[in-house]
Amino acid sequence: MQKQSIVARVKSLPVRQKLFAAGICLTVGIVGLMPTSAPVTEYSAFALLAVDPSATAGFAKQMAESILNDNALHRLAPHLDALSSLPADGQVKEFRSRLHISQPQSTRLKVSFRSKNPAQSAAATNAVADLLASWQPAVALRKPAHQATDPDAVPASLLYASLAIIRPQSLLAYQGLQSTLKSPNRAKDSVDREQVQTSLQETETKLADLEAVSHRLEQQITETKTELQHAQRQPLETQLAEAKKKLEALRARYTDAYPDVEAAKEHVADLESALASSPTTVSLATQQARLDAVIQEKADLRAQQATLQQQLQQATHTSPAQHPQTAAGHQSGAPAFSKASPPAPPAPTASARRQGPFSILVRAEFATPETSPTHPAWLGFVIGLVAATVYLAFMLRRFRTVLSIASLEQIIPADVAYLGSIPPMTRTTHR
Amino acid sequence: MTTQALFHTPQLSLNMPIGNGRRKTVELPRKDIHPALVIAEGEFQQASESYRQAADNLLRNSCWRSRRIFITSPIAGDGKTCTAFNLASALSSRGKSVLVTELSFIKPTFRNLLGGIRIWNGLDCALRGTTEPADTIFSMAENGPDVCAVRDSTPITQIRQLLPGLDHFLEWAGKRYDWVLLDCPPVLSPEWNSWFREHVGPTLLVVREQHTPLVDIRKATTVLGANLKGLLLNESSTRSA
Repeated sequence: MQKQSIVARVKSLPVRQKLFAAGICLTVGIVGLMPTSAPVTEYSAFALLAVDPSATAGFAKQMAESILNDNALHRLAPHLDALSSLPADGQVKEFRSRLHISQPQSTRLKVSFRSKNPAQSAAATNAVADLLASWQPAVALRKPAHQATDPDAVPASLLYASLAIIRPQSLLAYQGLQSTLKSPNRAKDSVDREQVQTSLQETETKLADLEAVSHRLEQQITETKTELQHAQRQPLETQLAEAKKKLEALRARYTDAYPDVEAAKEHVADLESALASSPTTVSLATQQARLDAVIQEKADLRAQQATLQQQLQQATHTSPAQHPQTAAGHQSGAPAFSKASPPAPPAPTASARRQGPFSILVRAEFATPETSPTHPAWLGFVIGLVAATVYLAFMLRRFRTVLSIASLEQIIPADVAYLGSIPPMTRTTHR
Repeated sequence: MTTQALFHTPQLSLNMPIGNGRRKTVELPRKDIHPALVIAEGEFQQASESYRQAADNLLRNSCWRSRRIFITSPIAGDGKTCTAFNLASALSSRGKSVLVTELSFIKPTFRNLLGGIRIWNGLDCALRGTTEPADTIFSMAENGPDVCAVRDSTPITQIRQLLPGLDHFLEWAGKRYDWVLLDCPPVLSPEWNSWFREHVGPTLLVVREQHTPLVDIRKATTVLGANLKGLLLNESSTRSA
């Protein structure tokens, strides 16, 4: 029996079967496309922030991610209903996974947040934008005790620039000065070194004084609280002790049923209840007044710190800026400033210190649904093609055509006469 | 004129009835005839020989003694109309008078096969009683078969009105011709109606290689039953013995 090509077999299929196969392909394809418009489960809102390139040194996104550290997110995350049931670490992790920061332009930062609740999505986005916009380098002036001050630990790459800005300004100034002093290519001028060292010592001294003042104030607040508590409870305790003594003296002389003893008992009970119900903390008015005073005092101290910071910043600025000049002219015998040496950390500009590197351009007002197709679009077509192919294969098997007289002999009754086979009609024209 | 001469003339003369017993000779260019017909322009020696062999087998077999052959196929496109024409030509070449009659009233094809010639009076006219049966028949040259074609397409709902007169026509044709070949609609189509089921006689089933599904042949065999007397394989790549 001769073989027949697939194309010929498909062509020989009845038109109805071929149309049906095409219909299957189209139907399944269309049905396969439908799941691409699956119901929306998440919404995303975004806010747009302006970036001060001079303050971020081209690392706005990294800076924003540094600002949004675990501590910052730890304060934001519990306010979202979807995250409230998670543990603290999980909240931060989940918050960070839903948060997306991108930098479409060098002067733009886009913050978006995904959530099932569109209102919460917009709220969280705005909260993050507010956090970034309110961040000011000058706020974190206090030098953390745990921060390493070893200048060797400072990375020499450009990344140092952005990281250094994020660090407390006192530390930045300190490290900048230290690296300047330790660099063999930079601090060659003994006069400058003495000036910088003097400034550094003064800064450190003032910072230490500020820390001491701050610490002393905190101690004073604590002591004041303790004293206040003690001052309120002491009279009651003295009265109670006296009442108990009086009760013991009366019991030695009379029975408990004696009226004086009963009166003393009631007095002791009253005192004990008064003592138990007395406030464990000082009155709010007194406490607030003291706290206000302490806060005011701290604000003054911070202003003083800012002044010191400016001085340190100027010292940092002045020192590296002098070196190219020194290499170029003032100190002709000194080696030139090496290009390979790590650049000095760029100091934030005055405006950046006042306003911060980010400012909100567009707040998140509404959340748009996130379209996440559950199936790729082509999957429907593939399924349709496979189904149509299977159908065609089935039909090809069912509609096997006559291939020779031998295949007819199996199905034609024996008494049917076979008149013959006619060859294909091919002609040669006489035109 | 011999058969060979018939096949090699550039034009075919048709003696067409134009009504009221009058006839008109129409010259039909062979190039306009469907190429699957052996009377068309060109050389079909192999196919003509095969049809002549089939005609000889037909003449030898006693089961065709009614000399009325229903030619049909399981599905459309198997070549039954061309087979009817070519077989009629082969029988004519054997000196028999042959009438080829078209019984496809819904979609008549004779006219198109013959290059779109005009049919003045067709079988449908005779069955409606508007003309005599003899006025519906035209001859294809001197030794060619006579042909009775359908002039107009008839809706399937009106076919029942035509079929009662078909018995009378076939009886008339059986008396006038040695062989009457009836080109019938496909046996598995809706046109194969109750008339065919009741009046069908010896039937020649035409199948086409690489076209007709075996399953349909099996169904056609079942429908035709004992009336199926012969089988012809069209467009076969193997020459029959």
